Amino acid sequence: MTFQEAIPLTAVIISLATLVFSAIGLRKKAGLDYVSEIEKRLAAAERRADDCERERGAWNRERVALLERLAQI
Amino acid sequence: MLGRLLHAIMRLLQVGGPLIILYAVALHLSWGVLLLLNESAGWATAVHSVLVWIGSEYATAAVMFAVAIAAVAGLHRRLAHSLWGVGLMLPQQAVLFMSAVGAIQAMALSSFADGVVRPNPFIIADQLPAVLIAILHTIGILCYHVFSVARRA
Repeated sequence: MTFQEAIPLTAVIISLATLVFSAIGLRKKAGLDYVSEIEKRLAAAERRADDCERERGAWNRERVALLERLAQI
Repeated sequence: MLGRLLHAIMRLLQVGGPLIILYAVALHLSWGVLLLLNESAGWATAVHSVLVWIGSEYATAAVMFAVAIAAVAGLHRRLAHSLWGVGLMLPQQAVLFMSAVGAIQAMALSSFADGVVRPNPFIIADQLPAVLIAILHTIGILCYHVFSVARRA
């Protein structure tokens, strides 16, 4: 093969290789972004659940105190 | 230590990626204008290897302008981290590699495209930028679209 023949062939092969490599890389990156997004939403849900649990405890204590006051009347 | 060094190099390339692409854009626009102004620009080694495959100076200049415009479009923020963005930069990469192979041919034959014969080290020193920019352009594409951190809207 002469240099003249190699000129477009090299360009095409390298461009295709870049395209394939980019497609694989972007696919992997999209997967990682998706996992990271789910992890963020999970952390937020856990925080909300903890807050609700604390609030539930406080309301329960209030309920018990009010029932005790009613019982004393 | 090595990890930090690699991280620093990656950060540098992420910033430098668009600059390399803009350098190639400026180069192709300049070559296009020079080809339109004077046919003799077609005898420059890096331009000649593209010219022999396309045919005429006007068509080559049009190709140079087209690949430069496509590459600039590929830098648009909305196309970042997408195959469309990569695809718009690939024609420019192909033209750069055509120039690079022409430069390697000149190095191997110790002769510029216009037939001027020079010692091998002279031609290597003269034509090395054409080869390096093609390699750096590829790294630039990958750094800009694949390896950089995605910005969320």
